[in-house]
Amino acid sequence: MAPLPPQAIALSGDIRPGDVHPLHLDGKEFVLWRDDNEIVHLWEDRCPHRGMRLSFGFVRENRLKCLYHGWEFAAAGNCRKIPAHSDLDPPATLCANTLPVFEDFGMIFVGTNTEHFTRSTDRWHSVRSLFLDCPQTDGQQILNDWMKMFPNDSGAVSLSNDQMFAGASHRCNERQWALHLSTRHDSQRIRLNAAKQLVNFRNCALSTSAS
Amino acid sequence: MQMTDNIALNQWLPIAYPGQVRPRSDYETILLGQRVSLQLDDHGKVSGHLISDDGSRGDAIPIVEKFSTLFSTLGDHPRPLPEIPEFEEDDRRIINCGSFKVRTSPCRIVENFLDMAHFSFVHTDILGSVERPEVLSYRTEHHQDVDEIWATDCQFFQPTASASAADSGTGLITRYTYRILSPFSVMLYKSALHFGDRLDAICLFIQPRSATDCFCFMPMAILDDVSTTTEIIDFQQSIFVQDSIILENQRPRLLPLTPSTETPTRADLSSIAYRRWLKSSGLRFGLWQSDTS
Repeated sequence: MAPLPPQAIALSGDIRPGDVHPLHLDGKEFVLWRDDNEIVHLWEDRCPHRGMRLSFGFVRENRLKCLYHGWEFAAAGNCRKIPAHSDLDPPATLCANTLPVFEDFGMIFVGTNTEHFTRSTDRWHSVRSLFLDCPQTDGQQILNDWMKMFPNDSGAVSLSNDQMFAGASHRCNERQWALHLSTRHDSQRIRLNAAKQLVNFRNCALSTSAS
Repeated sequence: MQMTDNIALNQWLPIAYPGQVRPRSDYETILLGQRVSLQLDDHGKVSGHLISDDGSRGDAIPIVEKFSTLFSTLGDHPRPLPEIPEFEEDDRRIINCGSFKVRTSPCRIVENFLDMAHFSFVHTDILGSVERPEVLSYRTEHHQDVDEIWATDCQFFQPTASASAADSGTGLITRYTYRILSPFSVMLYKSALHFGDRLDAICLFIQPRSATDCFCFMPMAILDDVSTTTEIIDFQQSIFVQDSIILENQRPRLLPLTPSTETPTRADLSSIAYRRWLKSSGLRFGLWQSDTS
């Protein structure tokens, strides 16, 4: 498979083990979930059986379980159990559609890891993700302008001058962008202030565009 | 946009319950994308008309009342409404359970109605139990004389099979027979508590307003001299609310017929037969095509 350029999709701290989240990326629907071993997974948001959105499911015994018929999918995406037929060993071809993901800068990225990512052990913390209804503008540019950040070599993330804040964005669909901000500051006060700053910028931008 | 699918046009489709059409006031609704209105005259007779693009009253459309439901069609040669003799039996209660709006394909709704494997997970502790999710083998057959698909010898363990079973406490094996009556209608027979071998008859007639926006009508001919009508309707409505969460979140909303898009298992025998039957009918409306989404 050709390498997929990395693209931030969420903050690591927002997806805890056992969490199952629906995610919109470029108009497509995905499910983002974290297993009991803290590994995060991104799959197409439909069960291969009858198309039910897997983001309505839940994690049990380290498997994602579909809400409709209780089919259980292991972390690798393959179906391991069909409750209606307990004697049946599901074929290996019965599999959710999985995408490659990795984590760095306190964020979750879809795509293939490149040399620009350190997957550093530095402790990054979530500041917050913000959803913005701004179809015409680029989410990353907004984030850079607001938080005075500059793209790093990967192009997929921007950093503040002191390298203590990281920001990234993804296009949800034709109407909406998501902005993601993380920090290496341990101080909760600094994180709260940064989150407030982000929200203030958003509110100012909204009132400007409304006037 | 004018709908041109001849299979979809040539069906009798539910359009209202008789009580919904009031005197001196048009009842407006949509059938396959076409706006229509119903009128009740002084003799209690209901008539129907197309509504033209400019809002004026257009051609008349036929209206028939059957299974205490009003049906109409936009086709010249509609497939006949099914024969369901249980609706003629004197000791049965004929009950309508409202009309439910569901934003998905009518074919998704039919398929969900045929499905026993979801009982344990979607209707937990009512129509199924997570401890006993097993779907035993059953049969499907094509009744060529009426061109219906039947699923027979179906059975499932149910904690609370119906409103009248609510107090029994222990659960029981319920036997089912399903009939696919048309591309957009389906019914089931299930064991009625305290009535020996006789079976409740529960229908689902679907009014597709568009390919992904439907009203569902559920007339029933049931054997129950214990429950109130309100209790029976409440039971069916609570089941339907659980189903609609699933139905509105299946992707794509239109039903795919290609086996590579959705993988069935043994429990889906009736769904496989339904999809095969739809494919051979030439229907396109409500179905996912590779050039749509």
